[in-house]
Amino acid sequence: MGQYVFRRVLTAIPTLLFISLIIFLLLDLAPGDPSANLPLSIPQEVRVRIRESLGLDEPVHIRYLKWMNQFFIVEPTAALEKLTGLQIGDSENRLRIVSWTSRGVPVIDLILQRLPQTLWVVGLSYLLSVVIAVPLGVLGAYHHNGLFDQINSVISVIGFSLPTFFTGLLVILVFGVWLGWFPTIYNTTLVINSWETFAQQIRQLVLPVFVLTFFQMAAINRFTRSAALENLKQDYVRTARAKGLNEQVVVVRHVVRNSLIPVVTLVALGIPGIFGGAIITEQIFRVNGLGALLILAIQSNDVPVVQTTLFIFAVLVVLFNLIADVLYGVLDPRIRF
Amino acid sequence: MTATTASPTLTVKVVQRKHRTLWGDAWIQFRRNRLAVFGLIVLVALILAVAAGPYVYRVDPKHIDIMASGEAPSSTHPFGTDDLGRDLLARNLYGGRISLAVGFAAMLIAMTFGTTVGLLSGFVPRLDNFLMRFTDMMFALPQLPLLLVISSLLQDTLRRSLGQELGAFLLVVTVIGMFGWMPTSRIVRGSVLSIKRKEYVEAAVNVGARDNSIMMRHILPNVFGSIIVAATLEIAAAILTESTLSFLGLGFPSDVPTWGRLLYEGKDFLTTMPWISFFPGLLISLTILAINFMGDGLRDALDPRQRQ
Repeated sequence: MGQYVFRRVLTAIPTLLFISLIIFLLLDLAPGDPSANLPLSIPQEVRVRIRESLGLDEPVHIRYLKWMNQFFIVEPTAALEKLTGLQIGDSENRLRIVSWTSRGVPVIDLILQRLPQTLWVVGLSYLLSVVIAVPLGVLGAYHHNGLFDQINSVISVIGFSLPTFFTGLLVILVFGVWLGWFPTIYNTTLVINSWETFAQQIRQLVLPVFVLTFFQMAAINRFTRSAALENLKQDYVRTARAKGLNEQVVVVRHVVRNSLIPVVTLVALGIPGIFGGAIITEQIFRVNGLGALLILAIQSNDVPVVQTTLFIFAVLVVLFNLIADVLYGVLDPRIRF
Repeated sequence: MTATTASPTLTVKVVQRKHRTLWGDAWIQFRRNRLAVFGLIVLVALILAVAAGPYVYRVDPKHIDIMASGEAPSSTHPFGTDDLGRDLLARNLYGGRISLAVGFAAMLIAMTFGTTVGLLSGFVPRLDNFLMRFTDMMFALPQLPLLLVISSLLQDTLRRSLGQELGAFLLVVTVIGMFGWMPTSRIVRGSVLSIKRKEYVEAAVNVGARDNSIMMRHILPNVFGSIIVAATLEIAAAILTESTLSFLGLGFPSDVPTWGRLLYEGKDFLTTMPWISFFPGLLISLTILAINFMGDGLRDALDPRQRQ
């Protein structure tokens, strides 16, 4: 097992390098120059110096290595310093990855500012969708082809067929505009310090969380259903019944536990995806989370922010792939490496 | 069915059974699934509507009539008009052509690439490891964020060199296709690996068939079922991705009214003119829903284990 984990971590490294190279080259080779939008009145030599200060005059591979150095050595040291309060080396003149548009703010700080909002909305909805979808899927499989199963399946297909930007606009229109029950814009400056503000926070979470949950639930629901269906046909279920165990024990202790193995993997694999998927929901409800940061950075051509957010997304994907693989081995004793 | 026996006195009754094919069986199975048939009907209706609609409903989608701006759906403008007074039914019909075309074109790209990669890695052991690692790496890319970045970076250049509509179309289709082939290549590889061990392939090898013809004549037709299912679902995914890009303002330019783009334009008028966003959103949802129902039906129909 330990050896397997070690091997998997080792294979993750080239993947990450490949992705970092793609992200770097993509932004580097793409047309568009950060100094192109500067006013024409700036003299040529100042322009050249601006380009030099951004490090744009060096060859591609040097810039790539420098970026890697910044990302994997400079930034982690800075983070470590902040955490422990120690001073490591020359921390004054350290060249951090800095946003081009919000003058001099390290990109990591921007991301840390945005992360709580994303986690509130996205994390909560993912949690909710797992909690709701798994029992629904199991019930659907248990009453295979029954009325509940059919309704449940149809709703699942509807759930992942309706794009979140459409359901989002629909619920805003119905519950926000016509009925006026919930606010349509997410207020990120809200500080929770009393029951009243807490209630306000819950109220503004309802619509975005509902939209995301409805969408994410569908896939988990279907997956759980098919996993449970597979398990219900197994011999050990018949044995359990033959032993005289009651249905509840058979389903919960035997079937659900075994069906959850692939579901846990799916849930782990889906976590990085929800950050990407949340981009749309964040746009609709004006949540200024990570997705909103990325969109803003794309629009304002803020290359360091785009590069860093993209790469963090990629790291999340690789990391959760790894976690999913390892979890699978831990949960399923039949799988030996 | 027929038997020639030694005894001439025995009259042999030839039972003429109707010839059954894989696709015929699949069709029978498919028809039993009511939702899948519903999906097929809706999809065909939508395709017919956007293909023939503009010839029947002859209103210029780009005609600006400022006096008629923001009208609610009525008999003169069945889907209403937008803030500039353009007729929304015409715009939706026209936009549907582009949205559906994007779906099919991106699917074709993804299927061609995915099938090639899958066939090669399943059939040529030397390439297998490399191609599958490549597929894994492509899977590990954060798709939507990357799509957004790529289309925002390249859209200006492509539009300048190829024209607004064609440039945007090619960009969107290629980008979506390039990110959509991985599931297909995995499915195809898996099927190829299991089919390769079948007796009829061994027989073909033994009679001296070339690799090429084994691949094309014996293996490809047998993985075709899974490819069709993947293709169906890929169309839905591509349409969804296109409308997501357009919804975020990064797909088609403003004068090309795809469904996603129309939705994007209407979202600022949601309180005053909800119909601008409602109809394109409904059409996108209907299309994707229909395709997904169909895909489910096809999967069951083409899977012999599910046959009754």
